[in-house]
Amino acid sequence: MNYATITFLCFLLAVGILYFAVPRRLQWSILLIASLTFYIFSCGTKIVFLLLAAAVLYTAALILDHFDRRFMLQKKALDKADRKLLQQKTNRCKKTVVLISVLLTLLMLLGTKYFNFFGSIINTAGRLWHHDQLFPVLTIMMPLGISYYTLMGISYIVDVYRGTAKAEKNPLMLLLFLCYFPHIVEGPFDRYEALSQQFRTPHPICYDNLKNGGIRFVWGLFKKIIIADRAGLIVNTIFSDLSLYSGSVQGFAVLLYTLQIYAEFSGCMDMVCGASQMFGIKIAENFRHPFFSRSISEFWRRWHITLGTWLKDYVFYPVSLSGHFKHINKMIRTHIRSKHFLMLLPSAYALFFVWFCNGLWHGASGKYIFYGLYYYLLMMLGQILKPVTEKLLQSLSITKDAAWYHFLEIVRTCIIVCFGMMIFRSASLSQAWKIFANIFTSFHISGLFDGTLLLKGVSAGDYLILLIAFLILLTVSLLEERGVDLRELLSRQILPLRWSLYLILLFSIIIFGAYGGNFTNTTFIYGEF
Amino acid sequence: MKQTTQQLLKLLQELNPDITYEGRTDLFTSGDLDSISIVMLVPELNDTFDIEIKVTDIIPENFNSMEGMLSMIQRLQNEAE
Repeated sequence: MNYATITFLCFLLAVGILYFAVPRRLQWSILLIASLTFYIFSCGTKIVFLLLAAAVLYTAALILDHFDRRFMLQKKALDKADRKLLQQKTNRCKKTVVLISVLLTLLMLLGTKYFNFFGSIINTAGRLWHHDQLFPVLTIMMPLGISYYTLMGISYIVDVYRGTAKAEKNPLMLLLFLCYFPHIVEGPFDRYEALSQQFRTPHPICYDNLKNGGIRFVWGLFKKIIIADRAGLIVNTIFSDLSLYSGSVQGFAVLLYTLQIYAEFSGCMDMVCGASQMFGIKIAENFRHPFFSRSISEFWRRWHITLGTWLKDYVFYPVSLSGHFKHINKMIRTHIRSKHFLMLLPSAYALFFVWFCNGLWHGASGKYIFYGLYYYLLMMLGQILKPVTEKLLQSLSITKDAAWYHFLEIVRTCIIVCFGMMIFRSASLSQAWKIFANIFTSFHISGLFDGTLLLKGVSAGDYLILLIAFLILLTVSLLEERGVDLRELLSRQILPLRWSLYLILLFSIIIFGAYGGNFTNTTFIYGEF
Repeated sequence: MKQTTQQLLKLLQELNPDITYEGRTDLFTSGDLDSISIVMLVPELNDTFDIEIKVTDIIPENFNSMEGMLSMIQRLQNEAE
């Protein structure tokens, strides 16, 4: 079920009526029934994978809880040395439980999302040893949201292990956390403690939540239907046969794809955050105007925020602070004298795993792994060259706080991100390389104005609507970046003006939305990961 | 305590001399001490103060201010004894 459809709006309305009609202590069960209905409606019997993951994680968390309780009981009768031994033994048992549950959960993800990818790698290796087709190529339909609920489930069990979350006694509550319909399609990656407390809290009907959630939902629809779907038609047409277009048109398609994916992903987040807000439940924010970032690391702290924090908490810190890395670090310290490189070492090592996982999470192909490593290389290069750039800036008497330097940094970040999106959108790495080469070798600015861009089903009017919608998006983003709370500002205006603006937003979607003709209400890009 | 404070300040300034550390209470949440800076800093803190910082210690409360870092160091030193 696509969020940007009338079906979903009817579904949301029905869930809303039931949610506020039942006794408040049962509200969470309405959300569970709604989420399971949404899931079965979207991918039918594949719900079995979700139920299995929930069962594994629920049982594992209870076992961890049992170990903790046993330790607390037994330690009272022990002296300090024996207590330490018992703690070590308990930790070893807990680690084994976490490892088994994480592996079982990951196995389902690997089996459905990565089977063909890893199968093809093994087949290639097998051919070297004259073994043909060790793994069959299967057509496997991925269960909805498996990449999201797997990672959220892992965060839950690791948090219980670390003692930052309590083991859930009610299996249905854990199931709701995993399949909560606003975050199952494209995230965000919520954390258990934050969300489960809100599920348990009674939520009376609240005008502000309904109004603000509704406005945010409509704003997300605006981004999706007016910008992303319209840009998507142009991008898909150009990418369907790149050989017909010059480097300038290909470059334009890359720029437009960057706009499309941002409008679509952040639009979807606005829709789901808005929908959830109407129930009084705040889910995690995933975007903070990433295109105003001054560096790549800042960009990734503002784009898909919850994936970044997940990778930071469950890959980056554990790897960089792990015992085996400490061992490597000690060995290297005896050979390297440069303080700068020694300090860089932990992040260089751990970031490799982060960006490898980031790429692999996006998709089961070498292209996505390269996409992740592209950012890794750029980030490391920036860190390695930091002393040189600092000296250069000093010698040129350039202050980093100057507005023009700030602007140049933003432009540089945007260019790097666009090239990243070029890799992301291309069918293969070789296609990405061809586009990259064409942008520099056959760039004719006239190609953008000679009518080539008036593609089948796309008129000059579409470009005008796209431009105006982009300018509205830019203005709103700029104001929010400067700390202006637009909803608060609107709420202070007189009623006729306020509601006129709300209605203009709503009717602009109905009138200027990209549907009918060649336009299709496309599925969300990140929903396919 | 004064010596520990000076050692900590020296490590932080080696990490990034452009930041004012004293009196700040948002070093971690503002992003001045980002994840890369944290993993650069942690091995130095471990070596200098003979402690072992764990993943669960990397929270805003411990890294938002010099006071937070000092009390974390003190706590971990006590735990190690």
